[in-house]
Amino acid sequence: MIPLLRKEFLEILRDRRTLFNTFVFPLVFYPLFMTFVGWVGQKGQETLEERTYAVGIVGLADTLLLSALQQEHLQAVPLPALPDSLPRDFKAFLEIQPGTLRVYYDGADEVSRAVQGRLVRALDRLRHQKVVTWLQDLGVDTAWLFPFQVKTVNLASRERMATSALAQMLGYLMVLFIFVGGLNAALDTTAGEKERRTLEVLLALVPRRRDVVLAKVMAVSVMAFLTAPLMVLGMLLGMARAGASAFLLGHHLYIPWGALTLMMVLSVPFAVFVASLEVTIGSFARSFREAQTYTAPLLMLAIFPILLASLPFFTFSGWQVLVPVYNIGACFNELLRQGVVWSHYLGTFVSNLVYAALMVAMTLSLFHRESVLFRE
Amino acid sequence: MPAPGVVVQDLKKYFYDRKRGRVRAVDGVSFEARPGEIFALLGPNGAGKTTTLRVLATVLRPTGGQVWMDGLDALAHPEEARRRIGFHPGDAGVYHRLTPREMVEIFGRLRGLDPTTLKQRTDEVFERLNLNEVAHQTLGKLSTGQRQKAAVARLWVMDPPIWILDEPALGLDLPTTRVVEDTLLEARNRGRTVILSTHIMEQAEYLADRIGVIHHGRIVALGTMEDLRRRTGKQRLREVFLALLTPEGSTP
Repeated sequence: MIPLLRKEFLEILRDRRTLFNTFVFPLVFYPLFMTFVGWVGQKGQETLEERTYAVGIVGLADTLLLSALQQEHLQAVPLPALPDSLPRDFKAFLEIQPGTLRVYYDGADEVSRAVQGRLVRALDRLRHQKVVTWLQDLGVDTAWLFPFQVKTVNLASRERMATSALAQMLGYLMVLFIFVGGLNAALDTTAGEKERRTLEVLLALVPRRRDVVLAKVMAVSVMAFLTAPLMVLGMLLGMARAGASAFLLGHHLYIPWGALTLMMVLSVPFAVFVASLEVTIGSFARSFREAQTYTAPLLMLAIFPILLASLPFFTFSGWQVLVPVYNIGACFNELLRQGVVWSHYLGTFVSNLVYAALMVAMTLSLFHRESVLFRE
Repeated sequence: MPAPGVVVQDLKKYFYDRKRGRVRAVDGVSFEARPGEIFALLGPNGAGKTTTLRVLATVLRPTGGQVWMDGLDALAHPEEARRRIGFHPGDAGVYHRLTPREMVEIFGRLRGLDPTTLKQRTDEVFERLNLNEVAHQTLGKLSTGQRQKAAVARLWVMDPPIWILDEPALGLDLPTTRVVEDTLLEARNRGRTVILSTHIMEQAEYLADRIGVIHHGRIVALGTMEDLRRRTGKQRLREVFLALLTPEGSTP
């Protein structure tokens, strides 16, 4: 078994595609990607909030209105009539009629929606200001306008806030990366070996075919499993670089070590399950290229349940621990959002262990089927 | 008790193909290859050579027939049979991301050679095959000839009693072909049973002690070069081969 594992790992660790998927993508590309997206998002937000936009005004605007618009960084441009459509220079129009102020904007344009928001805010403030002024002119106490104040208090600790924000992506991405991490190695060690005709040499030499299969599954499992912590590391690096305040507590990045450790333990049987599944799929293909065409549906099938599990209104309970792929995503989310619920955690662990064993057994039986291994 | 070497009796391998239905890739092949002998399977494309060799290498299970390897029922005991054979597939079957040295060492360990013997044999074989210059370069970067030599080195270091080779000199230049042929002749002289398939008439003529001509999954002629010449009345193997592929020629 040791020479077989040596052969598998030497092959895997010298394959540029695998190295990219397992190491470069999570540790280099992903943090850079997150940094870039964070930077672009932040810049965009700043632009939307701070930039002055032109608003076309149809009708007579008094100084109070103009001042309210100015406070929201909106520049009023008088227009003789309402145009048929929104010209490029304007992000909204305000039509002034007696008793009605009508705001026109382009709902399909994000900037126009933001300007509409600013405009409505300015008009609300103006209305409030006018009511207060009238009441004061009439000698009425304006305090009755505000019978109570509303104040909200967030009871969640900063740690929980950080993990909750982390949970939005981490569980989903970890499961996805386990799928992606082992994929290339799995296809190369099966379809690739068939294509290069090395599989026959191996099968003719190693007395027990079981050993050949187990070495392949073990090697792919390690690669799939390795990708998960590397991806988490890459994600945290990316967040730290992007300065995502939701994940930073003071000057320190909060890392939920307990939840992450439990997630890693749970990833072990899941990685074996995924590795076996990928080795099985790779075994069906006649060539590496053909195998790649089978993996697109696999990833689609994997994404759907983990996406479902990451939705906040989905609660993880009872029989759901038996649903493969979904259970791991839901359990990861639960660990990050609420902490460990041992019945769910152990149920998910055991069910993944059983699925991994069944999948390995299926892979073993497949390697005894000539119609699959030597499909012409 | 079957004779030593490889004894193949009435070997059949059928496949099911969705379009063609049942395909008789090998249909009742029988031959013997003795220790200290090179037996060549000669046949046109699709004749059943590769399938026959894959069955002998225990990679495929036959539909019917019997195979004995040094007296062992290879179909009943494939795990035992694998300890006696070394298989060299077409296209060399080498690992492109391993170096020749790593590949040979890994396969030597899988064969069960102890580290000292393995190193000694590897040094010797690499020296003989002139592979030392490229021993530490990955196989993917080597030429076809060097890869083929590395594959032959793998077989030679393992040195099983039975060598099975599918087109071992396909696409090679003359000097490399000669290296491969010399290795096979040496294996024969050491008492190994060598079974190979080839398209190259000259190679079969040069190497083989006996030749089996296979066509449509059946052996249509079997014997020494002289036997085949006598049977067809032709001198050159190319002519002998073509004559044997005609319906008249294949009738003994």
